[in-house]
Amino acid sequence: MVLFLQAVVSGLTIGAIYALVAVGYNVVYASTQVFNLAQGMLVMVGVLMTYEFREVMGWQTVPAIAAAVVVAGLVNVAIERFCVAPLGRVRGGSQHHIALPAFVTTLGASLVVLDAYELIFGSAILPFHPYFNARAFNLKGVLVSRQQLFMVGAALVIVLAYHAFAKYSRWGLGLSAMAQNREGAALRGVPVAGARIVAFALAGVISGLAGMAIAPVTYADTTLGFNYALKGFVAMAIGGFGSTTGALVGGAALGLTEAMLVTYGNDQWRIYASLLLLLVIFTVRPRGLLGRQTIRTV
Amino acid sequence: MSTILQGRFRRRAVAGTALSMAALLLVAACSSSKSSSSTATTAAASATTAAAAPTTAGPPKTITVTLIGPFTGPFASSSTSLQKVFQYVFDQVNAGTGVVKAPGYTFKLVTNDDGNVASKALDFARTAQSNGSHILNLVGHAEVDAVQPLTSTGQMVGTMEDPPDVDRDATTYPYSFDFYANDIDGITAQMRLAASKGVKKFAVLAGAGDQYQGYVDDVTKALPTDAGASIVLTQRFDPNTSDFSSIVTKVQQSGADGVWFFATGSPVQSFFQAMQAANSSLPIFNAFGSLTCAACFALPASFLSHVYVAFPKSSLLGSDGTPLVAAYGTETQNLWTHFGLTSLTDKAGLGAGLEDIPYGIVWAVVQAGGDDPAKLKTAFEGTTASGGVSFLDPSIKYEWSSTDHGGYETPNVEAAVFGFNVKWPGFFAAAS
Repeated sequence: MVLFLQAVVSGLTIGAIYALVAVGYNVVYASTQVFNLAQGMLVMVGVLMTYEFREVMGWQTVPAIAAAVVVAGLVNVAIERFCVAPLGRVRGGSQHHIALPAFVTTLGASLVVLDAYELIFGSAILPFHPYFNARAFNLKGVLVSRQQLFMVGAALVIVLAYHAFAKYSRWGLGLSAMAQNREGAALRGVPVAGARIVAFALAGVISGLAGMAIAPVTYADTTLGFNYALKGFVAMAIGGFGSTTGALVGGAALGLTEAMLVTYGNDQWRIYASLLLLLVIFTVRPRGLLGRQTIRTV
Repeated sequence: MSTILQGRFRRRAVAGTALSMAALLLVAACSSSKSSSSTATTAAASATTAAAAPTTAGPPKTITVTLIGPFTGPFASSSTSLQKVFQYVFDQVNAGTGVVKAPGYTFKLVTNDDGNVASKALDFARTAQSNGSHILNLVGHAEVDAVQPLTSTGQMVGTMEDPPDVDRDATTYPYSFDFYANDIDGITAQMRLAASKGVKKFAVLAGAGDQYQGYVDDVTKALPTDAGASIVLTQRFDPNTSDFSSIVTKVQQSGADGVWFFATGSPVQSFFQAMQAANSSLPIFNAFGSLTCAACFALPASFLSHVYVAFPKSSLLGSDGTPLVAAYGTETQNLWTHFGLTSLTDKAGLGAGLEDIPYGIVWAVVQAGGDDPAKLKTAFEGTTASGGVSFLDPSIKYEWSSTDHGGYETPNVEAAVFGFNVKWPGFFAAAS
């Protein structure tokens, strides 16, 4: 039982990060129909910029994190400006027409971001001092570290904050309107171009925060991006495209599945966990666990 | 400090971990018809002086040695370190001041940047062969793949040590110097340490993949079962694993009193952190993984004091904090001075152990009376019968045979405590 509960702790911890990346995907996808494949790289940006400000420049933790997530947001805005926005001009501005090319250009952007960071920081894993005391709480044999609690807590707070933003702020409502009908939202006065920039900035900030949260575990490593890009995408697919709550559920489901396979499978099954889950979800419930079915009259 | 670690990591991860010691790659060029009057190998390099100088009068015979590896990209530092050391040694040998004398020969170094791409390495190897360079030294993980096509043609090749012990296979990979003990030598040395500490029940944790399976197999081979040692848990994991808390729980529940951990990159520190969180003081034997984790040097010394690695004696410090083999310490300082190195990062990547490779080449050429591959083969494979060959210090011997091309001798490898030494970057403290 202790081992099982420990696996649950492990799964929820890593699932929290997957969930944050999935939320980042969703923020952009819901409002623009674009899958920003550079989203995973923004986790890496969050990690490395927090490293740079905190470990190299010696800033206090909170301002270092704040600056790092701003950079992650700006990087994503740059991706939007240089890799997505021009597609709209070339393709006549139709949101649906830019989805596929954006898939390619954001993938290219992720490679550019990766190479740029490798050029700056090198390929070595750089040390990152922990935020908290390393010793874990021992709950009747189940070890829960402060870092693990922080990762799960941070994910919940960030997702709730985004949820509140989307539901109650004008920009959030504008993004939600764009998600349903971009042209209609534009006719009702939503500045769609600006809103798209906001969506990318938000997504960047959220992934940057994910990077901040996981940095003491992974340390500053430029190779992090692709793994989280994939896992975040799978978490989003499991939870449902466009659903914030679904992203949380999807992240947790993927994290728990992986943890159980690692704990009880005793081999590399974890590698295949995400693909297996993706296959099952797409077969049984293509819109994801909490994704909504949209019916359109054509 | 981070810069130090980064530089150290780059060099150790590449020049060290799997590719630490280069390969001597001898591309045969239809020369087997030449008679092979093998000269006996000697135990000390000094004895090779003028042993087989060219008999014909005239200008020195030029021996072209081609160094193929990644001179650009993230793994460039390992190749550039070797380039420096090769040129340093060849300059000395050509001037007649080297540790190994080779009168009548001039050694010329050619370098090729393969960008860590196997196909490019192969192309360069073939070009070098066609240009008359029969001695190739390959650096890098990717170069392992380059070897196979050469081998299949019956040519003599050597490569890095990746996966472990592949360099011992005389049918495939001749002549590794193997100074970096990320193989069964290192595992055996750490098993000796474990036995001295009374550790008998091991948990073996390794990343998924064939490379790590090799390490798992080596632990099984080196396990002193006659002394009651056993493996109580074998756990493989995805290299992207970042939370090891459940695996640490499994280790604790298994009753293991020692852990072997085989991984590279971020899982290493993730695992170490999970062990820290569990307040575990189990010894962690880590044949190579922790050396790829420069960031791990930032962990508390109290934790690192029970993390072990393995190194050849030439890279170890004794209890007095000075190099165990003084000649390697002195020569390492000579290298640092020669290249004007001041930063710990640069120093950590340039140790005298690297000099054994070019000296080995020079020695073999002298023994073979040139760079005829068949005669070089005879020279190398005769070392076991003659008791091995040494270069900078008689205590560090290399032996090759027709069945084992591993080079470095198991007794020369010792367990070391994982930790960074500011005074002697690149050297680790011997564990006792």
